[in-house]
Amino acid sequence: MVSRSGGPPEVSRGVRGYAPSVIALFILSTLALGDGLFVEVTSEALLSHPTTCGAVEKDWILEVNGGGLVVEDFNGDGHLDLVVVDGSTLARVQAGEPGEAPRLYLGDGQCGFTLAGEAWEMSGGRWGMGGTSGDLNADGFADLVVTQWGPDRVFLNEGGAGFKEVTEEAGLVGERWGTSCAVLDADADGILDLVVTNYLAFDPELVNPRGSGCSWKGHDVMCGPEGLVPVHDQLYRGLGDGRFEDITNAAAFAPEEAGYGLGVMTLDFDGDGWTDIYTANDSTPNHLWRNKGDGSFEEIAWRYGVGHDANGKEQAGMGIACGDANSDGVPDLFVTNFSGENNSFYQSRGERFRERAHAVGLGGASLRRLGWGTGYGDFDLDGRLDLFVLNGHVYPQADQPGTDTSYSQTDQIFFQSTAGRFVESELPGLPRTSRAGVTADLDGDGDLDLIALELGGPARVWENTLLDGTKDEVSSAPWLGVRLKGRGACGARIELSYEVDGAQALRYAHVRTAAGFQASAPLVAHLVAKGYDRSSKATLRVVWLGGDVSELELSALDQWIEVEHTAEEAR
Amino acid sequence: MTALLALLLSLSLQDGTSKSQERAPVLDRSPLEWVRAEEGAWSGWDPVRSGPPTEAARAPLRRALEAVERRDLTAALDAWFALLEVEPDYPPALYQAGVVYFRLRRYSDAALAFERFLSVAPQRLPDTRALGHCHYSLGRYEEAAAHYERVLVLGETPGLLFGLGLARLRLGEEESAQEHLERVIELNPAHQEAHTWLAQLHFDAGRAEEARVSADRAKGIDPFTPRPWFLLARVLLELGEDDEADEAHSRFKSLERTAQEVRTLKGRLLYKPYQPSLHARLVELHVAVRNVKGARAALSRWEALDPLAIGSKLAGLAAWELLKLPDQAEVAAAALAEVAGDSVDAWAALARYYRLTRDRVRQVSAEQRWLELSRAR
Repeated sequence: MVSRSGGPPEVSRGVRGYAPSVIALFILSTLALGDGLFVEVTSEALLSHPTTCGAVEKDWILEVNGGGLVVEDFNGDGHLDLVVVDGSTLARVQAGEPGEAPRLYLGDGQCGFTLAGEAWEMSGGRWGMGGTSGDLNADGFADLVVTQWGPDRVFLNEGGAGFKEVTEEAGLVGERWGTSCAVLDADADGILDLVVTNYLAFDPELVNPRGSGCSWKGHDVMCGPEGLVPVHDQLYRGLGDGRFEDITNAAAFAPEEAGYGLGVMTLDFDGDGWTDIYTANDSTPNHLWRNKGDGSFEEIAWRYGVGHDANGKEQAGMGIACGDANSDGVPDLFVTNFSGENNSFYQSRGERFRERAHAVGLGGASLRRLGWGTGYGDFDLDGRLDLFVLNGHVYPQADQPGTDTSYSQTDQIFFQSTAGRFVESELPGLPRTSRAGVTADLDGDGDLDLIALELGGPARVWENTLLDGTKDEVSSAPWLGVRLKGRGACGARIELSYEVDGAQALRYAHVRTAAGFQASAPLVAHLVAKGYDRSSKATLRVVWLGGDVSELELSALDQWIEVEHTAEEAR
Repeated sequence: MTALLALLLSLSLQDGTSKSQERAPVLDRSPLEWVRAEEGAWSGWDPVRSGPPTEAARAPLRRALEAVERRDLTAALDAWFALLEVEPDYPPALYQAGVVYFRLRRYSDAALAFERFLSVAPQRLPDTRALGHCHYSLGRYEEAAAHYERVLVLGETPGLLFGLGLARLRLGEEESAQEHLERVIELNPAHQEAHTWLAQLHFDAGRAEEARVSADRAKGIDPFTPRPWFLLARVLLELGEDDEADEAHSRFKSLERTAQEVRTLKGRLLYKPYQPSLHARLVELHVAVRNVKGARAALSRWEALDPLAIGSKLAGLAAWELLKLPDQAEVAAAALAEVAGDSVDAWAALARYYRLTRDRVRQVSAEQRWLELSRAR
């Protein structure tokens, strides 16, 4: 069933009085370096409330990861909203005071955000980290999960009118240091499950602060993660009412050796219809969990070539992007790492992956930066996936001589060229210490905007101005935004087919909310139909998780549509 | 006289020991501070024909050379800074400062030092391969390749070709990279890293059989480096030889555990070299995997730092005994006996060693000394 009333509004497109050649020239001259594509439009509501993550000296490892971002339409008005997960300070924790509360900002559909009213207020927990959203109780509204250093939290959405915390009865066990989390339907029963990555056992009484002998490039720095105890990740089965059951052991979701978990991604890398899980681990090998379809998982990262760098060394994995960058029908993975290490680009090759960051131009550009949030998106609407990478060091000492890096760093956009290589450009503005990031079409105009959270700073919003009304329909390919609702939406595969010069072209995307590092994206797909003739028809096929299929004919693209999994299809 | 000099050196080392555990102020300085010499001041400089530096430069030069001998990088850097203050742009100091920065993994600073060296002694271009390495380590692959090519024009060496091959590989120019790596192997068939990278290149190109051959050669040359085993495991998986792949992967994991700790320890010793317990652990790690070459290098680093230290001699004796290398153990025992002095531990180890080697005369003497010292405690 297709509806055009929900989701971001339809946007009509038209060239406004510019000769195509002039516009094309303008686009070529500006986008060659990515200049001018993204413009910062952060609302006062966000700027006026920076996040907190420990003290500026960063004497403790707890203080360096920053908070989280969750993007979804929580109040059901068709505009994307934003939850900023905030942290605390050790002084507050030691004084028994709560940390900064997570905050919901309501989107106005034009990249603007205002703090939501009282009904949406959440109390402060111990120390918030990341979060995710999903319709946990199948009432049609997105609920919220927040990870913490401390017990993870669940907030149910009361019909688009406010949040109600149900952490006590939610069944999220333990008081670990949760970082990223993601919803998925691991057993394809139509009820959302949850995966939480955990970092390490942090107790200020037992962990040494800066000044106790830990050094990096000859500088005294905070201690960890080496030498500290990594903590196993957790997998929960959703019970359909906002509660969960811990199935970590039952599902064999415990590797031989735990990693320092930071990033999480859900994907179906082997195309068997079951949702797999990939985690990025700091200073320990990354994990790829194959969903065996019988309620259990097996860890296969080294066999598939996504555990280490090409040299067999474990890296400091932070964030993860997942998308079919080389358009071979199989997802590729991109992982951000520490300075001095290259970010990893695990390109699918047949059954397995090859680390090819340098070969595609993503290696050298990352050596002097420390990457965090990342994600794929076709930012210039040319039919090829691009990539954003947010950067910033963990050590303020990175500004001292001889480190070959810096504490604040520029954020990067890598545009994919026709030859499959990525060309670096930078987000505008001063260098920052960025952390979590999400790309989404915040203003519903068809191009992908960007939100980035700064460590100890605000969430910042960049509007993609590609389709701002002056340069559309000239060089950019037609696009289609698809918002999915109902059972089997999370993990669904979307295929858009259309004719190009007498041959059938196919574009596809997987729908997920996992957004790499302590972040969550809306349950949508954004497709770019390169070569599509705007006067022709296209076919949209949705393969819902579980195998049901919806198919519909589209007479036009360049719009957002909503597709709901109906009872008939679910039979 | 020699003994007196050694004693003096030892005393100065002990002084240095406490100082070196503090952060050396020179690490907060930058090559950008170096004063420039007058234009053309070093234009005729030649490392062989040019005479010694000025009188004022001799003291810091001696200090630098002693630090280099001890492999105390920060002390050496401090001395090169001092030398460049009294003798601006003195070419050997610029070059050596570059080498020290490179070893300290401060690649931007190393590049500045080498570029400055080249600006005052452009005729010494062939000595600056490390400048290419600096660019490479900073991800500046175009600059790295360009520098290697500039130097290669003056003469082909395996090191230069290897650097150029890797830079080309990083730039996605795989055919060119392969040519250079193969040429490295022609010039030096025992170049383990060239075989390893060639294996990687074949593997990435889907040539699993060729990759297997190269990885096998690499691990044959150095069986203690984890990377060839990692590659081999992946290649074998690709070839459907799962059991052999698991075996290679298991070997990789065991070697990598050691390599990881070795990397961490070496990283900690780079800036604070006077840490006997870390040196001892390094020796122990190499011995545990029976890596004779690694153990020898670790002992040599430790001894260079403090030639009269009993700890390194004790560790050496234990290492060679464990590795069942009697000739080396004999040399180590003799070296330990020379410095044993009043050390109870040293005489206990010697007594045990002589007992095992059935050297009764020395055994009795060592036991006697050990007893005396133990009673006197």
